[in-house]
Amino acid sequence: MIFFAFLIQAIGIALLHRSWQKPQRQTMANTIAWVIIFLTLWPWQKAVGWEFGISFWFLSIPIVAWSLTIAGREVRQLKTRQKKLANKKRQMIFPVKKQVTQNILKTVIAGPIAFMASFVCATLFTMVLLNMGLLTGANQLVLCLALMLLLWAIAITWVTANPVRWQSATVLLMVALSGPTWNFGFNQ
Amino acid sequence: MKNFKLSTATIKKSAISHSAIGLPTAALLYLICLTGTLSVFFEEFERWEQPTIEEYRHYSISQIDTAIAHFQQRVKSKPETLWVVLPTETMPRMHISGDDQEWFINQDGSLSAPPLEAWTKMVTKLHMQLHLPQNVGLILVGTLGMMLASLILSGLLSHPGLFKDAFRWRTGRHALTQVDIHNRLGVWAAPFFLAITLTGSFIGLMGLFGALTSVAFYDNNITAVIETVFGDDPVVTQAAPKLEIKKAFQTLKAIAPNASPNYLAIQNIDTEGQYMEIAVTLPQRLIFSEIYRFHANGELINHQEFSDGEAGRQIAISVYRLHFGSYAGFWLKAIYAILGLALTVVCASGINIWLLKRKHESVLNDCWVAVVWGQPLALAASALFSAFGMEPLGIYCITQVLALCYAMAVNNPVQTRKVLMLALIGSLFAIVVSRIAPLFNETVTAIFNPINFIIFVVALMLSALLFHKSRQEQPINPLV
Repeated sequence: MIFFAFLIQAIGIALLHRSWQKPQRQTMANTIAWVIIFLTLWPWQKAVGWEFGISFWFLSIPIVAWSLTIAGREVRQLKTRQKKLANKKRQMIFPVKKQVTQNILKTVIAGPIAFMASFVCATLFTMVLLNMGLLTGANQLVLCLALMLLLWAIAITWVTANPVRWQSATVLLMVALSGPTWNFGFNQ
Repeated sequence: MKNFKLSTATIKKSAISHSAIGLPTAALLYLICLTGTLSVFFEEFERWEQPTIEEYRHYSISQIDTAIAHFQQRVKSKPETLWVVLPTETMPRMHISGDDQEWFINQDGSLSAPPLEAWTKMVTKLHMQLHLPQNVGLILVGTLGMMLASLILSGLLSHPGLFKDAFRWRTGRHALTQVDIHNRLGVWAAPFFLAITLTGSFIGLMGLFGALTSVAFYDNNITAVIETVFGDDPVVTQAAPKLEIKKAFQTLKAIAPNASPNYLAIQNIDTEGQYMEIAVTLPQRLIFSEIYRFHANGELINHQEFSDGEAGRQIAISVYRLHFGSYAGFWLKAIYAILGLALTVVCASGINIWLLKRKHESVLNDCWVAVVWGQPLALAASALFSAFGMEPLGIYCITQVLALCYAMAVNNPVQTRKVLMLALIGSLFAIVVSRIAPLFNETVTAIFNPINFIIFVVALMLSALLFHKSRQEQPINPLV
C-alpha cells in the first residue's frame, strides 16, 4: 500500500511537472495533477494511519520533485567564469553608519519587541476563546504557543521588510507593553 | 490561481527581508542545520561510538530486578526517579540511570560500562543549545528557528517564478546553479522546513513561554503551567513495600496489547510514595510516548492521556518525534537526513548567491568558505580525536578557529575550499581506520560496520566532488 501511495503521488507530481514545462498555462492538467496528489492522502492513511500518512505525504513531495528536477536539468558549458573570477576586485567595504543603526533597531524590534507583541496578541486571542468556553487549559496554552510562533515569524518578516518607521515601531512597542502593563499595573 | 501574482513591491520587500535576516544569521543557521542533520542518527552514532556494548531486543523482569539491585549497591543515595530504559529496534540496549549516574545493562542483569559523554552528545548539544547554558541556548536556538521560519516565508514571497521555475535547474553557470539549487531545494521542501523550524522553536521556546505564562496567569508557578499541558503526577502515600514490576507489565499487556514499552521509571523508590511509570509508543501515533502509572503492587493508577487526552496535550507531545524523525524506522530517518542536508545546502547557497552578486571580494568570502567547509571538518576532526579519548568540543572549536585563520591568511576562497575539503576527506578516512583497527577481532554492534561504510562512501563522494570542482576550475584553454 505504501508503494502504491508513493507511486500515485509520483504520477501526480510528474503530471504537474509536464504541465508546468509547457509555455501555456494548462489549467485542466494542473487541476488533475493536484487532485491526484491530494487524493493520495487516502492510500497513505490506509497504509500507515492519518498521522504518519500526512507526514509521509509531505515528505514524498520534495523527494519526487527533486528527482524530476535532477532528471531534467539543463547543462550549459562554462566559458567565461575564469575571466570573471580573475576580474573580481578584493576590497573591504564597510557598511555606512545609518545602515548599522537601522539594522540594530530592526534587530531590537524584530526580536524582543515583536516577540512580546506576538505573545500578548496570542494570549489575548486564546484567553477570549477560553473565556467563551471554546477552549480548555492545555488546548489554550498549546494554541497560544503555536499562534505566538506564527505571529512572531510574520512580525519578523514584516519588520525586516520595511525601513524602521517610528509609527510601526510604536504600535508594536505599545502592544508589547500592554500585556505587562495590564498584568502588573491593573491586575495586581 | 489564475490571477495569483505577487506585486513587485511585495517581491522587493520580501527580498529585502530575506537578506536582512539571512545574512547575519546564516553561519549559526548553517551550524544548527548541519548538526541537526547528524543528530537524526544520534542513536546509531551512540551505538557506533560504543560498539562493544551487549545488544538484544528481549529482556526479562528478573533482568530488570537484578539491574536495580546492582544499581542500588553501587549508588548509595536514593534517586527521586530511577530509570530503566528498555531496548528498542533503533537502540537495542538497556540502561539504568538515576542521580546523574548511568550504566548499560548486560543480558544477565549485571551493569556494564557507562554511556560515553563523547562526540554524539557534543553534536546533539551543539544542535540543541550551542553548548551555551541550557536556558540561554534553548532560547537562542528557538529564536533562530523563528528567523528560519521567517526566511522561508520571505523566500517564498520573494520568488516571482515560483511555479514557472519549479522544476528548473541550470547547471554549468555558477551563479545560476546556486540560485536554482537554493530555490528548488527551498520551495519543494518548504512545508517540511516549516514543520521542522516550528516544532524546533516550539521545543526551544516552550520554557520561556511557560515562564512568561506562569508570571502572567499562574502566580509564578511554572509547574502548574507544565501540569496543565502535560498532566500532573499521582500522589501515592501508602505504597506496598515490594515493587511488583512483573505484574505491572502484565497489566500493561492486558490494557494496551499493541504498545511497545520504552522505559520503566520508578518514582520515590523505597519510600511510601513509590510507584512505577511505563512509557510506551503506540503504533501509527506520533506521540513521543504514553505513560501508564502503576502502584508498587502492579495495579494501574492511570495513564497520562498523551494518546487520548486534550488535543493540545497530544500535539504538544507529538512535536518531539515529528522534529526528530524517529517515528518510523531507519528509512524515515534517512529521508529526514536528506531533507536536513537540503536545508543546510539552502543556508550555504543563500550566502553564496549574495557573495556572487557583489562586485568585489572581501574577507567575508574567505570566512564563509571557512564556515561552510570548516564546520564539517571540525565535526569530523572531533569525531576522529574523540576515538582517542580527547575532548570533542575542544577539538571542534580549535579546528573551526584554525579553518578561519587559514582562510584569512590565504586570502583565496577557492584554495581554502580545496584544502578544507581535502582535510575533511582525510579525516573521514582516518575516522574509519581509527574506529575499525582497534576492534578488528572483537564482536561489535550490527550498526558499526554499516556506519563506517557510510562514512567511507561519503569520503569517496566528497573526493569525486573535489575532483569535479578542480577540473571545473581549470582554465578552459590555459593558453588564452
